[in-house]
Amino acid sequence: MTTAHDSILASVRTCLRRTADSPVPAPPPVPMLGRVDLDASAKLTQFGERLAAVGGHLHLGIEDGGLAAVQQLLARYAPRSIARSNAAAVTNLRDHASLRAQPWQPPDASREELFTADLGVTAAQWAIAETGTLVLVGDEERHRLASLLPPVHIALLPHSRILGNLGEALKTLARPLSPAVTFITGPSRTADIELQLVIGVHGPRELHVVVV
Amino acid sequence: MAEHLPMQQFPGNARAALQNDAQRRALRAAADVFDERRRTAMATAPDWQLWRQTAREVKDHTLLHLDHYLEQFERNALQRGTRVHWARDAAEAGALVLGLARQAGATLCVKSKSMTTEEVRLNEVLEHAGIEAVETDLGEWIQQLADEVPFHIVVPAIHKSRGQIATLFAEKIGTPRDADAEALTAAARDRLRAKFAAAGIGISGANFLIAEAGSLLILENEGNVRLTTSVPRVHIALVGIEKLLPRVADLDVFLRLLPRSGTGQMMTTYQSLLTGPKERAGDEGPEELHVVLLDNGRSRMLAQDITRQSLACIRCGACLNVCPVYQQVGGHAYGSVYPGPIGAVVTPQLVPLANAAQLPFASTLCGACRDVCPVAIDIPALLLHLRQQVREGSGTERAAAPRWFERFAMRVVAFWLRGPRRYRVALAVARWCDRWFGWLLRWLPPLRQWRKGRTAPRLAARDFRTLWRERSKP
Repeated sequence: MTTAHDSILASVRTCLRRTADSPVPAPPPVPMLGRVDLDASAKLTQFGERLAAVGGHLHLGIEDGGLAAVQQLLARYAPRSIARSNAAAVTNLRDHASLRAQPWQPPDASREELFTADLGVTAAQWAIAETGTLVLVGDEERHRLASLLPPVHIALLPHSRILGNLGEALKTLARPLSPAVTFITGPSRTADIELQLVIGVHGPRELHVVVV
Repeated sequence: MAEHLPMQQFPGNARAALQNDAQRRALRAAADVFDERRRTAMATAPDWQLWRQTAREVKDHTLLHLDHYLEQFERNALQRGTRVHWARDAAEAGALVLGLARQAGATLCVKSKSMTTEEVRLNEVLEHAGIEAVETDLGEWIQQLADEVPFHIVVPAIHKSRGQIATLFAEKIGTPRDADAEALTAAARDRLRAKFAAAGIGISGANFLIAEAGSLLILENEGNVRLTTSVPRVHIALVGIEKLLPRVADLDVFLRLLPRSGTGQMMTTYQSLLTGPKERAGDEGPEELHVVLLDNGRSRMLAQDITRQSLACIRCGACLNVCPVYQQVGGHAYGSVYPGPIGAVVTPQLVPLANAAQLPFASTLCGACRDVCPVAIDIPALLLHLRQQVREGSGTERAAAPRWFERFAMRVVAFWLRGPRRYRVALAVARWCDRWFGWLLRWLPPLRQWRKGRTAPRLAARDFRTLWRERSKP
C-alpha cells in the first residue's frame, strides 16, 4: 500500500509532468521593496509615527536605559503582578533599586502565573520603521507569553536596532531561525463586529515601546 | 452542527438571501468600509502592480516545482523537530488530527481561524469523538455560538449586526442585551481565556510554509493565533500543499500584499514565524508541533496553466469584497466553504464538478475580482473555463443543460454577427419583431424564464449608429 506521502508527491509530479530528479531552476530574484534611504534618526521618527498610527505609544529612554519611562508607566498602571522576559535589559531594570519592590514574576514563571499578570515587560530584538513593527526572537528572550497575556505590554527597544523595512528584517534574522519569531505591530485588535475597531482582544490593550 | 446550504441550489439560495433585508444592509455597509480601507491601503503602495507581479512569479515558480519544495519543507521541518503528516483527502486529514488529539489525551482543543479545517469539517470529526473544539477568533466564535458556518473568509460574522450579536451573547453566555462591541469583545476574551488555559491541543492553519527553513507563518490581529500556538502542549497546523514559499525572503512581498488586500492594514498586528517545537525544557512553546499537509484535490489543479493559478490564492478576501454578486447574496448562498469569486473557482475544482455546477455561473464576469487580486488570478477566465467544463462535462459530470438549444442559439448569433451588413439587417428584423410581437416573445420561452430575474426593455426606436450619423452631420 502506498503512503499518503508517496501518493501525493506522485500525483503532484504526474500533473506537473516531472520526475523526482527533474531540475529546479533558481526561484525568481527577491527585489528590495520599500525605502532604504533613511538615516538612524529618520528611522526612529518614522517608527514612532507608524506605531502611533496603530495605537501604540513611544517613549524615549536612551540616556537611562528606559528607567524613568518604566517608573512612570508602573506608577500609572500600579500592576499587581508583572510578567517579564529574561532579556538583559529587562533584568537590569528589575534590579534597579527603585523598581526592585515591584511585584515582578520570575523570568521562568509558570503558565498559570503568567495568566495572572496584569503587565508584561520584554525587550525587542529589532524594529521595522516602515510599519512600526517590533520583532521579538525566542532564542534571545522568553517573550511569547509575557508579551501576550497581560493587558499592558512594555517593550524595551535598543535604538540601534531599528531597521528600515521588512525585507531587511527578514534578511537580518539569525539562521537557523529561532523556534518562535514574533512580529508585533500595535496592540491586539479586532473588527469582527460590524467592522468596528475594538482594541484589546486576546492580546494586550496597550503597547508601550521604550527606546533605550 | 452547522451545515452549509445546498450548493446545487445557488439560484434558490440567492433568491432567499435577497429577501433578507438586515443581511443586505450589513453587506452594503461592509462594502463601503472595505472599499474605503482598500483605497487608503493602496495609497501606501505606489508599487502595487510590481508587488503583485513579483508575488505571482514566486507563486508560479513554487507551484511548478511543488514536489521539490514539499520535500524540502518536510526535510527541514523534521530536522527542527516538527512532525510532518500527509493527507490525501478530508477524511484522511480528519482521522490524522483526531489520532493526534487522542494520543495527546486532549478533551478540549482551541482553534484559530482556518478555512482548511472548515474544508475537512474538522470540528465535526472532533466533536463526534467527544473532543470539544472551540473557535477562538472572535468572528469565528460568534458563528460557532450561532451554529452557523463562516459567512466571509476574513470576517466570518460580517452579516450580523451588533444588535444580533448582543442578543446571541445574551442567550448563550448571559451578557446584557444592550452590550456594545467593546463589552461583547471583553466577554469573549474572558470566556476564551479559560479555554486557552485548559486546552490540551491548539489547532491552526498557516498562511505560508517556508521550504528552506521548515517554518510556518501565520498572520492575525487578535492574538488568538499566538495563544493557540504557544499555550497548549501540542500544536497541530493543517495546511494545504499550495501554501509553500521557497525562502524566508519571499515573505516580504506577501506580507505587504495580504494585509492591505484583506483588511486594508499595512501590517496585521501579529505575525508568528514558527519553526519547530520548544527545544529545551524550560523554553516556551508547545512540546509537539505537527504539520498536516493536505491535498484534497489540489494536486489535480496543477495539471493545466489555467487551473494552476487557483492555487496561487492567498485567501485575502478582496475578491469577495468587490464582487457585485457577493455584495447582494452574501457568503452562505454559495453553499460552499469558500464563497465569493474565489470560491466559485476553487470549490468546483475541489468537489466533484457536478455538485458545484451552479457556482461558476454565479458571476457577472465584470472582472472586479481580477483587478483587485493581489496575485493577479484571472478569475473571470477561470469561471469561463469551468462553465465550459460544466456544459461539455463528460460522464457523470454532464450537466442537464439544454446543450442543443444553446449551441443552436450561439450559431444563429454567430451568423448575424459575421459582418456589419448582416448585423444591420438582424437589428432591423429584431426591432420590427419587438415592435409587433414583443409582448408575445416576452411571454414565450426562453425570454419568459429569462425575465424571471431580469427586466427585458424594448429595443430603442432608433439605434446608436443612426443617432451617431445624425449627430455627425454638419
